[in-house]
This record gives sequence, structure tokens and C-alpha cells, in this order.
Amino acid sequence: MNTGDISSLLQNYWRLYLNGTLATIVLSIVGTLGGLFLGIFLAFGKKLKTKGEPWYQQIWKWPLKVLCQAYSLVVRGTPMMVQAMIFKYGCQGAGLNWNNVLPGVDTWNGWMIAGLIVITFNTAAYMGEIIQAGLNGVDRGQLEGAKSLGMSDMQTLFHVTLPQAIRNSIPTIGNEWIVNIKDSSVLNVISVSELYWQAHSAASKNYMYMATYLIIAVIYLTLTLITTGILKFVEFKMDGKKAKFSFKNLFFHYHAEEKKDGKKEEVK
Amino acid sequence: MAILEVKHLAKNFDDTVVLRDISFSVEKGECVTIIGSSGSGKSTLLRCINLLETPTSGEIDFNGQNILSKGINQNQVRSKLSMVFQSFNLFNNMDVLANCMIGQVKVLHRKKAEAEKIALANLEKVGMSDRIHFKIRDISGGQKQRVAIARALSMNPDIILFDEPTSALDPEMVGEVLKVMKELAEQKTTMVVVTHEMSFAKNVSDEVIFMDKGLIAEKGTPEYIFEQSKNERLSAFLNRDSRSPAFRPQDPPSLSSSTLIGD
Repeated sequence: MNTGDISSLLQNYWRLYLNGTLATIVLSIVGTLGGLFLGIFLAFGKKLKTKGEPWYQQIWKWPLKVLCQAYSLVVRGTPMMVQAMIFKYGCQGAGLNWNNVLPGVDTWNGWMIAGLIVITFNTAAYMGEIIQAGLNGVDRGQLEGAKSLGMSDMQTLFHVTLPQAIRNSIPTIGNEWIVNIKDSSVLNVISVSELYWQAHSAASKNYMYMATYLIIAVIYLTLTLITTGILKFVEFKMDGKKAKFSFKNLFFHYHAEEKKDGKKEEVK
Repeated sequence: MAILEVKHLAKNFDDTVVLRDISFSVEKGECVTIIGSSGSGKSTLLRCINLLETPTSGEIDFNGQNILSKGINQNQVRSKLSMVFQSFNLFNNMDVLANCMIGQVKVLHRKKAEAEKIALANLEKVGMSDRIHFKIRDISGGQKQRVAIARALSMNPDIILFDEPTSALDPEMVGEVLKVMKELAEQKTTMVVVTHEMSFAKNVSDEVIFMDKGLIAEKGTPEYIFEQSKNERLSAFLNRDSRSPAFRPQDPPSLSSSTLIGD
């Protein structure tokens, strides 16, 4: 392997890498946001109150709660690669072959849709845990404050509790995004044409495996570093701190600047 | 006619009896303070009136209507019975102005412009109009409590309930909150105040209720409670309290840098 390999690979197959990178970005973003959306419902499903409720409430609440808890346990306890395979053959058994969905389309074909579904439902299980922890972390006083104003449970949830729960979970949600960028590579087993799959097909065309995987390692690393930077930036902004653009601030833990007298800088 | 009338109210938490048999009434424009040692049930009583806790038995008549009876819209009642908490309970995800507006917009269905006008007027009243766009974590405890009072006022409630509004504050911030509360009392706002500030109970309130072990042990005008009453428990409470630093605030021992370094 030499540098000539890498440059020739990039020259010949840049279209594959670009397509794969785009597919990976789409998979991770859709998976994270979709998973967050479903995860919110999952968190509520797992927290449903069943004790002391009248029977006509229990009759639907109890099975739903058990279902949500089981879903969370099973999906978090099995690898996404296995889930993808089960999904693929499950669909086939039910008469749906993703090959026949959008046939003849490159990258954005039926398997891409299947991949989006798998990564979204996989992420939802983790997001459920994250949102649940976020909801538990909201101070009880906030609920009482809302109650004392006469706000209904739904109003309290949408205007007070949930925004704070999501705000507190932003670092963990962002982490999930980074995990998704990397873990979407396992979807190659159901032929989703993301970065790994594209690279693999490029490599098998000319047997330059080492150079190919080095290239996509660099691409993955670049993607995750950019994501980390974006997340840090969002966190600064949400904390009301003035975000300074520096290498240290973007990639390492941020410390509020201290003035010489030891007092923290007052936020304007 | 009394605006709020509590009749034979009792509250148990499982086996623990917190309130036994509480009866009192509040007239319109009156400022009632409730005093008593910790654990005597003062806060629970206030939380029962605001329906944050469900009383075990008894009756609470508010504007001539028993708010504990079935079929009452609890949220509507709460919007007329604003509460100011010891721990502020301001919404951390909103700024000062939004905190004063959310209840008006969502519960009273006021237009945004109208709600903002009312919120601004009330923030002006408590002296917070220069910080309307501050986040809650960026203002001090005293300022938080004043915003909480403005939030309660913005709902145009019939009564404001204060649950130890100054207990979580630094001593130098207690004054600013008490000043606002005193102004409210002078403007004939109907208030029920649970407090450890004896000076407030003595000088501002129209009626003082002394609670002990879940019962009203003594009630009457401030003069009666603080000077004439012969109730043993009350005098024990007041004497103990007068020895505590909270009653007679002293300056903390000054730690100047010279004494620390020793030059």
C-alpha cells in the first residue's frame, strides 16, 4: 500500500464515497430525530400509572406498559445487525421484499428505507431511556408551579416538563447521534448503501482493502468530529454562554472562563 | 362574606395525622398569617387549600363553593388561588417575562399582547421590570421570589397563598421580598401567608393563626397573639423563636482579609 493507492482510489471511486457519506449522514440524522420522537412516546408508555386506576384504564394501560418495557429491554439487549436481519427476513416472510421497492434506484432504494426503519426503531429504545431519565431529573417543584397556575397535565408536559427534560438530555441525545453515525455501518448486512457498504464494493473491485478502509476511517472520524463540534456549539448557546470558536472549546469539555479575581464571568 | 372558609379540615398521610380539625375563614382584602413550629402542618394546610394535596375530610368553601366536591374544575380553582412557594418553582426553561405570561395565555386564554401588558405591569410592581428577558438561573433568590409574586399576581387571583416565601433566601434578600408583600397587603390584596418572619406577622397581618400539632392552637389579631394571649404553647414558641437568630438578625462576624492574613 502506498499513497498512490489512496489517491487513485479517491479519483476513481469518489462518487461512491460521497454517496456513502451522504447515506450515512441521512441514516444517522433521521435515525436520531425519529428515534427521539418515538422515544418520547416510549418513555411515557413505560411510565404509565397502573396502580389505583379504575379497571377500564388498567385494561389498556397495563398491556401497553408491559409492551413498552419489553420492547425497550429486547431492542437494547440485541445487536442492531441481528435486528436488521430479523427485520429483513421477517418482511420477506410477510411477503415484502425490499428489493422490489424502488427497484433500479442507486443508493436511495428500498433497502435504504428498510435501513431507516431499523435504525429509527433501534434508537427509539435508547431514546426512551434517555427521555425517561430526563423527565425524572426535572424538579418536582416545576410541576407544582405549573399546577398552582391551573395548567392542565398536558400543558404542563408540553410547556414545562418536556422542554426541560430534552434540554437536560441534549448531551446524551447528541452522543446517540454520534453512535448512530458509526453503527449505521452494520446496516450493510441488509445492503443499505451507506459508507461502509460503498467502500466495501469499491475495495472488492481492485483488492485495495487497507487503503479503502483507511479512507473511510478518516471520513467517519471527520463526521463524528464535526458532529461533536455542532453539539458543543448547541450546548454553549443553550447555556447562554458566549461560544468562542476554538479548537479546545469544540473538542474538549468547556469550562466557563474565570476572571483574575476568581469570579466567574457574569452572563450578559 | 368570607371569600375562603375552611371547615373541619383533616389530612392524613397514610398513618401520620398532619391536620386534625382546622376551621378558619378569610375575608376579602384580609392578610392572614399562619405561624407555628416546623411540622405543625402549616404548609400542608396551604397545599390543601390550593388542592396540591387532597384533604382526607372536611370542606373548603371558596367564593361560596366547596372546592372539594366532585365535578369541580380543579385547574380553574387553582388559577384563582395563586401560590408563591418557598423554592420559587419558576419555570427554568423560560425567561422572566414568559414565566409571568404562560399561565395567562394557557389557562386564562388571554391574548399574548394583553398578557404581556399585565405581566409587565406586575413586574413593574415588584421592581423587576429591568430584567424581563433574564433567564431564571441568572437572577438572585430575592429577585426570583419577586418574579414568582408577579407571576401569581398576573393571574388576577382572588387570594394569593404564600408558603414560607422568605425561608430559602439569604438574610439580605428577605427584606426586598417582605417589602413587596407589605405593599400588597396595604393595597388590600387577600393573602394567606405561612411565615417564620414574626415581624411580618406582627406588623402587617390582620389576623394571626398559631398552629401546633395539626391544630389551630390560637388565633386572633396580632396584638392579641403577640401580647395578650396566655396560651402556653404559643408563648413557648414565641420565646424560643425570639432567641433564634432569625428573629433578631445579627451581622455575621466580619472576615476581613487582614485578620485572615494576620498583618
